Amino acid sequence: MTELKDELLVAYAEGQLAKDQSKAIKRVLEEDQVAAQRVEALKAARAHLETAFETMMAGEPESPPEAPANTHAEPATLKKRHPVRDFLRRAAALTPLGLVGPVLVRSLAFVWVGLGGVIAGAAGGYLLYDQLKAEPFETVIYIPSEAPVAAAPAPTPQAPALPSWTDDIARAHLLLSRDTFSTSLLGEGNADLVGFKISKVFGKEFSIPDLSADDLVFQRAQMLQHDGVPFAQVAYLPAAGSPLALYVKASTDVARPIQVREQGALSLGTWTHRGLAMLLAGGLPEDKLRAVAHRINEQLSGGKSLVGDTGVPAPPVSQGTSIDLRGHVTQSGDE
Amino acid sequence: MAHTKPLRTAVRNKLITLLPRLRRFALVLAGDGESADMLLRNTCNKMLDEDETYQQGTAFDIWAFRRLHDEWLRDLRSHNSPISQAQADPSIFETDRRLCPDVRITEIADILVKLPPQQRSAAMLIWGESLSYDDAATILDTDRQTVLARVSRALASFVERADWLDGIGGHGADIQQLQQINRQTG
Repeated sequence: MTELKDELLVAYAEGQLAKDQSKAIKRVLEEDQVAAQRVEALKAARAHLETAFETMMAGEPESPPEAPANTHAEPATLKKRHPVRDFLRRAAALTPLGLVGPVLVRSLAFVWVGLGGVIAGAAGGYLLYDQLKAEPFETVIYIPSEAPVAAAPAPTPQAPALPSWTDDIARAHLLLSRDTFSTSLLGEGNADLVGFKISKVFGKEFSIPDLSADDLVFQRAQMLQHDGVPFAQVAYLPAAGSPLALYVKASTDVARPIQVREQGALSLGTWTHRGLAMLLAGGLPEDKLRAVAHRINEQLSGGKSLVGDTGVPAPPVSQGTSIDLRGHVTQSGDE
Repeated sequence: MAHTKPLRTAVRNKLITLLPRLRRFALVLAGDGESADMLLRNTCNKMLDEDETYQQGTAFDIWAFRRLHDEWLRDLRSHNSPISQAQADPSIFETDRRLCPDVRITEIADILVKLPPQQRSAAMLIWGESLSYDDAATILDTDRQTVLARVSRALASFVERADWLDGIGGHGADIQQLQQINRQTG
């Protein structure tokens, strides 16, 4: 009987009764202080349970994003082997890029929409920070700092910190170098000029791809850097929608074919061609981005190393070496 | 069966997004971190292998939670001592006090571990996941009346064991009044 009683009262408190039933119980509760107190006790118990269940999630990181909303995971880290890491690896392996991390996806929109000029370009490159960190553009698996399926809960879990805009910008700022400012804003939009300068930096012939057939209009190109290694960002705008950018850096890897995958709101294409590692990023559908990547590759296929042709040696791209767009190489400490 | 890439990608992405919530459900079911991680891992692997059973356009979380519950039940039934397997470790409900606004979290954890996992899981789905009774019933492979009965028993047990609730009706209501309610509500 007691079970039935509580079930009825809980159903009432939960709004699970029909209207007339609910009214009947309400009338009884108005007259019966004991029953009313019981309902209050059940509600209080429910509140405790809600808190307890919510607390279980408090030490966990937020879900990695399926869409770039509700995300505030820690920056991506690569953790050591973990009992459930196999699963995450397996899941990530289904798309070779894996899950780069919510920061990147969220920041893409943030950067392009919120910032302009050089900072926008640098931050755009920052979106691919972890990609670039790999050599040349390799798979990065996102594992939140507190793995969602880690072992027993950490004894002293930390409240998940929201990466602030200053954190994002600080990382984006690291992508800037003196080379970024070596070409005027006007010059950045001159495809011939920046193509030539990029060729000089990488010691490989490189022309700004003409993607007008794909309704993509070249906007500008600029040099950025990561850990002292220069890379170029070549940005395009479609008639509508988000920008598309080709990132280029020197690579000693053997040629790798074009691989395209979706990453959140982005489609990413990576390949290596004649000593240059390419990363094409944009909001285009996967098939469309693949077609663009192939067009770029076809246009670059006629390129050849400038070494020997112009007398410009292929500059080293190791850390600690600074290269300006004129092809001048400066070892750190020379200044 | 050959999987279409879009489907597999969709399942993978949704699964990763859902992992923290699935792990909490696994903890509530399994009762300790190690068993929960094993349960979650096995379930996730099966979901990836059998992703064709997921109908695109349907609620993925309901499907995934049900798969987890089914896997837990399968494990439990195959064990020699299922009752002992259902005992929980209070530490799964206790976290850093800085993260918990409820000063009685230790007492609450002690009460929660004493609840049967069926009641714990029903309560978690209703009040932790804020699912409807119908969705919870789907996940638990039962009907909504059973879900209501389970959460009612969970709350009643909680009230009985939480002595600090005595002042607000920790004891049962008058039996005559209850009978009157039952008559009125049919």
